[in-house]
Amino acid sequence: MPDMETKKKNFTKRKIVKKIVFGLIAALVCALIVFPIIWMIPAAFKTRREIWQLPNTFWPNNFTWDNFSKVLTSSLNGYNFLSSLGYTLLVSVIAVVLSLFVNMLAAYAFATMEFRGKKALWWYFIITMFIPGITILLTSIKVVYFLHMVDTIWVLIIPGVVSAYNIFFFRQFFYGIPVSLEEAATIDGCSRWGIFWRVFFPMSSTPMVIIGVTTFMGYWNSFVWPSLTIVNNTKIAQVMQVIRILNSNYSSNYGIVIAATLMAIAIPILIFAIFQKKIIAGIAISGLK
Amino acid sequence: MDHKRTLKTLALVALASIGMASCQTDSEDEYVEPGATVITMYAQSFEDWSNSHLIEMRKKFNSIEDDGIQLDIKLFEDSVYSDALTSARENNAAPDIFMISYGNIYHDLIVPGYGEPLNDLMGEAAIDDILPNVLDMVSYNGQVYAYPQLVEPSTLFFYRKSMFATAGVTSAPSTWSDLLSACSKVLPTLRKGQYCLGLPIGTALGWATYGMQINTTGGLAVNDKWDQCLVDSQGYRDLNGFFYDVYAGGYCPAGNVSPKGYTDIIEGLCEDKLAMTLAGSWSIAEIVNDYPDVLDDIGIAMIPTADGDATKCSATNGGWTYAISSSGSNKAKAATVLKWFLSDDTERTADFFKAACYSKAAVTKSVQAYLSANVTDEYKDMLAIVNEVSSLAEAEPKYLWGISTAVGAMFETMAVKCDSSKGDSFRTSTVNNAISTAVQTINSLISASDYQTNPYLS
Amino acid sequence: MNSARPLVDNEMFRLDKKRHNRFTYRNQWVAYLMLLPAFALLTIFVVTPLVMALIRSFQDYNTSAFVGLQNFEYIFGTDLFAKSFRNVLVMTAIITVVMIVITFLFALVLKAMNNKFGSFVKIVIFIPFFISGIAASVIFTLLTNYGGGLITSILVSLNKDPVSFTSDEVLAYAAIIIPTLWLGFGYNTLVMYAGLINIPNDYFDAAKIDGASWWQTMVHVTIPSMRNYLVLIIVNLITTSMQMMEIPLIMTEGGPLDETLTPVLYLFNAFRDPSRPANATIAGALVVMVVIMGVNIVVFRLLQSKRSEDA
Repeated sequence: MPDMETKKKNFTKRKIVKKIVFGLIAALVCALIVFPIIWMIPAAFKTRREIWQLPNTFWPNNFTWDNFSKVLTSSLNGYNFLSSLGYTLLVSVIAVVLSLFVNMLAAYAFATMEFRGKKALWWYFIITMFIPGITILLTSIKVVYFLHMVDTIWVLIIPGVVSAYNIFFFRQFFYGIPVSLEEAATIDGCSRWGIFWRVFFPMSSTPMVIIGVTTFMGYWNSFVWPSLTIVNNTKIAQVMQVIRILNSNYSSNYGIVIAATLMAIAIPILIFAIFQKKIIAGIAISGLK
Repeated sequence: MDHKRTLKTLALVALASIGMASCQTDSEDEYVEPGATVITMYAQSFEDWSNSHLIEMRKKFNSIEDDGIQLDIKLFEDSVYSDALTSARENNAAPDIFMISYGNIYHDLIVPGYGEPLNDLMGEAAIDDILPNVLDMVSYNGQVYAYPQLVEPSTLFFYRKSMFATAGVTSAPSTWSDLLSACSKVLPTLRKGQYCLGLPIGTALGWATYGMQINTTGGLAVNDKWDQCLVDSQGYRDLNGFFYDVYAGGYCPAGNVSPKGYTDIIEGLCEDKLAMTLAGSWSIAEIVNDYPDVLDDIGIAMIPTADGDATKCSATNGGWTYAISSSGSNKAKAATVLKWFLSDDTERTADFFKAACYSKAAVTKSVQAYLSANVTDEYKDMLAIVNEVSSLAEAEPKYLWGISTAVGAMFETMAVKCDSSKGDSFRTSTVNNAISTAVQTINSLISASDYQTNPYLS
Repeated sequence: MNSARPLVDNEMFRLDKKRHNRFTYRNQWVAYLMLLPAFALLTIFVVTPLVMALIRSFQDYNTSAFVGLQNFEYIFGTDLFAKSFRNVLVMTAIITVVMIVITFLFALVLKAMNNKFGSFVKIVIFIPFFISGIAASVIFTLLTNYGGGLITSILVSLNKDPVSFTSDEVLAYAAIIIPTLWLGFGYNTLVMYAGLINIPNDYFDAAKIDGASWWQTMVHVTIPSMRNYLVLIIVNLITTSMQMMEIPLIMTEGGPLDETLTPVLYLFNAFRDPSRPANATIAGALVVMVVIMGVNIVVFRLLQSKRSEDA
């Protein structure tokens, strides 16, 4: 009959085997996820002959920087990639700042103040969370044409600034800020605004990072809206819009498209690298409703 | 404080983005004439050589001082071009000049009235210079609405001489039976990933086969008046049979070997993935520009047809023209620009065709004569074949696109349903079934209440 | 609370909404001011278009006369939109089911791993979250291109015929579903993971004491405890999948003969096409919204009722 020692040993062995197997599975999954990106990187340095050549090679035999130089210096078929990078960055940054400001303010009002019609207003906001973009796509275009915003950076920034989900998220977070802090600020003579700036705002760095990053990503990766609203003013076309156009034009000399795509995803990946701990931690919070 | 640093970073980022955004590219060394009227031109973006040529011409035009005109060209990629035009028109900012293809002139220019009649603006000499068959394509009710730049036949036959030699094929096939026998000789010499014959696939089957349809059946899917479906004919049965045979033999790839499909199918040929292919004449420029090392190994001929008759139409003429917006305010100046580009100076206009490596055919008598007289030896054969085929070619039809899609779907059914293991009766029944489906679709389109018959005949 | 002054509104009423007095609404203009930008923007750019869409979907496009359900009949009877709608329903179903299964399983794997390696894995799988549909399609095209992509290259080396992801219907679906799964795997796994680690260990201990097997624990403890997270994931998946457009656009352009056409792609293509009646497509978009909301409500209800089961 197996004694305690053997039982323990068997148990530990099983645990180790389990750990190894799981580790292998995890490694395999990671490899699968990363593989397409790894495969893509050398492709940016391949000439048009090599990129669709059979059989494929991982490393380019004729290494070339031409694709990058072409993307960065020339005005390919009317669109300038560098310009699109710049304007997408500009639009995204402005949008994040505006969006955080507007949404946090609204969340603060809902979280800390009482006012007539509060419940109705809250429902008004929440309902908009359930309106998918497709439903209002055609009619929003009509609205922005009416407002003469088309072909400017504002049509890219303004419509997406308010997000009921973000307001919800911030409100949840603000509920967690102790009343005593507000009290102390009020005693110091702070107004409502003051309380917001001195108490709530400084404490919100975690949700601000998460919401800020996701908002930035939303703007950086946007494609449908820019494609429909930035038509004649090709200078301010957004980066994903330009990549799609490059994809249509340079599908044979695909290295150009790959080079552009690499540069376009470099910035989001960079942001991920900088804020990675907070972002991953934030996913856990966002699940708690 | 942490926030100050964040704000500083944000400000830096914003500055960097503005810096990136204000990158100027190719208009730096251009002469800007003070006080000149700005004429805007919307053009579609094509191959790099075509775009650079256009930009070059623009710089040359703008360097002309004291003519009171500053030309601004905006290039748009294919899928966004019509959006850009529509949006510009909606905002009362229609471009003074815009590019338009022959096939779209009636529906997108004449019907909505966007184009100004050009007979007076361009002058009699320029109008008379247009070749007769091209004149038909740009006129309506006696007025020219768009000044043509080029025509390009949509189907030529290209093949790799070395791959033919390896397979023991001695000459370019001129009939379908020659083609099938050449394919059967080439097939065993190929590896996986290589195919004998390239054909249009998918949507391209709708427009790239017009030439074959005219050649085999003497007409198209509907009659001249567009009110009767002609697909149920022996000619179409034969054409369907052709598709059946090539696919049953396994000679054609299942998908597009070139990323853009038929428009750049020549890449498949240049990259050793196809031994022979149908392709438009524009492919010649692509070979010269992007695959010059295989240029000598490529042969060009008229497409193989049912009977091999070299005097029949085997392609349709596609191409591009320039029109002047009827809502523009500087039509006379716009006409000056157009004349400078396309009719004043024969050599200047012919320059385009040289840049195009003679892959396109001229549309004016003067340019045509100039090219024939001045072509360099290496391009003599190309010029000859492109001219020959385009002179026999007919205009692309303007009937409802849904009709062409139905015909294309019919050919596609052949590709999908063919089966080399089944006999002739299966082949016949498949052909007939596909034809009756197509006839049904086309008839339902014709009988729709808002269907328009040929306006050119009324 | 040590102050002797009367309690101001926020102190008394932040989380307790029942007690009001005459001081309650004293400063409410500040609240309205703070809400004003958000309210204005939402009204102009979200609510107004929605109302416009509702109105137009019942109007004739050319005459603006009221035509009842005619637009809806048209869009589902004769138009390509109906086909796109069917396509996206199939795709959404497949993506949702597969995504939930694989992310749940991998979250279990993640949970059993130690910290360092676990953090590394979490970071790696989250990378695709930052990549847009357009960029992902470019990346996957390198693999699926018929003429010279990696898959073709491998098949050719094995002396097999290449497969065309754009000409074959089933493969076209795969060409869309796989990049979508790739993009969403990281985020959804992390949410699942958050759900898993938030289950109090007591539950598991109790189950062990009761002698529950692995499977029983899974069904009766783990999954019900993750209700909130599952709802979040499913709602999110359905909403985003029903509106997918970028991947079909680049990978298959709507697929062989519109077999992979999706509603948003249809709208995108038809956008300035005068031959397609805009009001009918608006009607279609409204139906998409109703379907999304409907499915979400059903899912919500299903997962809510489970709570009452084991309460």
